[in-house]
Amino acid sequence: MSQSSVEQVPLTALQGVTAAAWEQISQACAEPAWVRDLRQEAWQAYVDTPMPTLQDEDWRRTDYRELALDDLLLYMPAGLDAASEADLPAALRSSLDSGDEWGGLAVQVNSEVVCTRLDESLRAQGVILAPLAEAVNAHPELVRPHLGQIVAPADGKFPALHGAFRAGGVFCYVPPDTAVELPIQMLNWMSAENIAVFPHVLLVADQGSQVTFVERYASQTLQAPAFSCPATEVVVKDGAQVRHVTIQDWGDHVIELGYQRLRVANDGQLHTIVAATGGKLVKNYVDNSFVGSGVEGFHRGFFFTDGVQHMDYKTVQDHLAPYSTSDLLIKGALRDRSRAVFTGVINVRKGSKRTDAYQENRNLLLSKRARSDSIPILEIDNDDVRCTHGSATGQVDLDELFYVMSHGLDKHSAARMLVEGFFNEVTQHAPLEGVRAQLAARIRQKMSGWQVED
Amino acid sequence: MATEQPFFQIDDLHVEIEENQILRGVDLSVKRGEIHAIMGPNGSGKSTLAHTLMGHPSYEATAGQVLYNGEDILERDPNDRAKLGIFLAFQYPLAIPGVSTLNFLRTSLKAVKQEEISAREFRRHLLDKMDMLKINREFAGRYLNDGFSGGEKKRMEILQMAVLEPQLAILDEIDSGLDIDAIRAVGEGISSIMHPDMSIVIITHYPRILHYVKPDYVHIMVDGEIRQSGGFELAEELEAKGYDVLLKEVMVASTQTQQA
Ligand SMILES: Nc1ncnc2c1ncn2[C@@H]1O[C@H](COP(=O)(O)OP(=O)(O)OP(=O)(O)O)[C@@H](O)[C@H]1O
Ligand SMILES: [Mg+2]
Repeated sequence: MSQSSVEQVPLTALQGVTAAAWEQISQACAEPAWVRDLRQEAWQAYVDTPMPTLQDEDWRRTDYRELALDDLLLYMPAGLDAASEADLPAALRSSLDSGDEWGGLAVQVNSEVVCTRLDESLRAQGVILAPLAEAVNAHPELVRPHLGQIVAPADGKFPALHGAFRAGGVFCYVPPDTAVELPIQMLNWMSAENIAVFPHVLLVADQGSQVTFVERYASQTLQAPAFSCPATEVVVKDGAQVRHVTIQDWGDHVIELGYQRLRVANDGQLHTIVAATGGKLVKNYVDNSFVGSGVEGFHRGFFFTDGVQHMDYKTVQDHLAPYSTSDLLIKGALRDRSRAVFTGVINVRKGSKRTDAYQENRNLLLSKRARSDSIPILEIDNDDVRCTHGSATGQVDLDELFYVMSHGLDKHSAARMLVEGFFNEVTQHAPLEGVRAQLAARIRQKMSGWQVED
Repeated sequence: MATEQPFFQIDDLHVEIEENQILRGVDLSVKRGEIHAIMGPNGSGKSTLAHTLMGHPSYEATAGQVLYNGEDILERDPNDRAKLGIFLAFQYPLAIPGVSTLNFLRTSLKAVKQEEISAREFRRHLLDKMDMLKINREFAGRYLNDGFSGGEKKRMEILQMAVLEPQLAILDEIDSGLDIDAIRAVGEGISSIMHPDMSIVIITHYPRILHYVKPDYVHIMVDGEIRQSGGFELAEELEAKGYDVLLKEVMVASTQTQQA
């Protein structure tokens, strides 16, 4: 069991994003100087960066003014003791337990990592899974080159905020030429309202290694708002193969502004899945950055919104070197009065010849009042590349509905079958059977009470 | 059997699509165990009839009735019609990405028969039918019709019919797009599924399939109505003469009758 906490600080002192609060956090964390410097730089960047407004292109369609940072506590202890998974409350355990076998697990509740576990066999191979607060002391040579460098304060106001107030977080390292057979999972759980959390993942897959990593964000639905400002940094070194899954299943009260960057070196393979169904207002940035040549990138994502949810999902296929391929498909379904914005960027930088990039977005409007925008952005600074993109938004197809109904299914069941099939094309790529079943169950849950409109 | 009441009867059926009149009074009477072929030029309304019989919401019956076991089914939803034992093999089968053929057909059979069937039992049932129709078993796991060739889709329609065991099968151009061997396979498949209580309405442009699925009656549809009915020989006559000549002869004949 491992813990990281700043319990000596009175929580009320940490209300609102102020210099005093930042100072308190920074001191209480008692981090090595280089980590403190990172926090300092991030805080400075936060102060220097203006709040994004609806005038900024990236924020035009996502009005987050309901986020009242001044009302939130910036650090919240877990409020529970867990020596191992078995001690966790039932809600957390059932979220973790997909029926798959895990080689390693880390659980963060609010601002604290409450437990980590790694199979002895993996430990013997040199695999590391540790709270970030420990790793900065125990493995500075592995952490320092990457922490705060992949997702940096310069990326924007909220990555800067994250860097300044980061709390908890895990570090995972896979040594060269090591294949981690069983997947590793990190669960981020929030148990309180009126708080802000800043969870962090730093995953480093060294040369020629293989690993599957699942990040999960979940909570029950509470009354008052809560804020999640996570950052994920993934480093895929030469020839490494990483499968990365993000499952965002926050309660309806959560506002999330999250940032992920996955950086892939020569001949690396990156297979990513993002499944977003939770939250009240969510804006996620997923940047697959192909810095090496000969990279294969494969991204599948889906979102399913209902009620008055707002989901803003931006992906970047950033080709910085030649001979790489990237393939991206995002599917979304929207119910009720929910709203989604998908922005898909393909960026082929100068010199990235023979790039082959594919991007597709398909959205299903399950209600006439739902609204989605799909915005492809192609920035191609090169000839000799192939870039393809497509986007389609529509309702449940009436001829498909008739076809299924003519085989005996009533209208509602037929429509559900079509929606499940629609998402299956994405969820089938999730690397674990139990996770696939969980996602399918979540989709069915999101459909409950839905009737196809005439 | 010939003395039995028709169990399926279409009376003076008029159908509109988006306020365009397509069917202008179709009559057809089918007894149990009979096979009826409907032929007719492109655009004459054959698929419109098929879709209307299955209950496609875009096709509005403005007059007439469709009686199945004495009950007018025009107000019924497509799924209810399927439960009554009606099956439509589509001229253009749709693909259902994300839903495996196995899963689709099991769900469908459960809905049509309104009873549970275990995954295992169904799998065996399906594989038997696939073997019988000489369909590669691998298709069971593939998404329904997704990426299938035209001919493969047609064979899947017959597989569906074999699984669902309807009382009345409406086959809309089940033979189009099939190579000669596939026509034989599909034709033989249909006749092996056929039983004395089952009826078939088969829509086609070519007599070839009718050698395997031998019709008791052949009807020719033109401009949304059935212009001419006869036995199997009508299909062959049509093949030899084409619609133009055949229909002119019909016109001359009817004018002569009027004059007489
Ligand atoms: N949505 C529609 N709006 C208007 N007209 C339509 C519509 N759908 C079909 N039609 C017309 O209805 C007529 C009958 O079409 P139908 O598909 O029933 O013909 P068919 O006899 O099956 O032809 P084929 O042998 O080519 O399959 C055609 O003239 C067609 O253009
Ligand atoms: Mg037709």
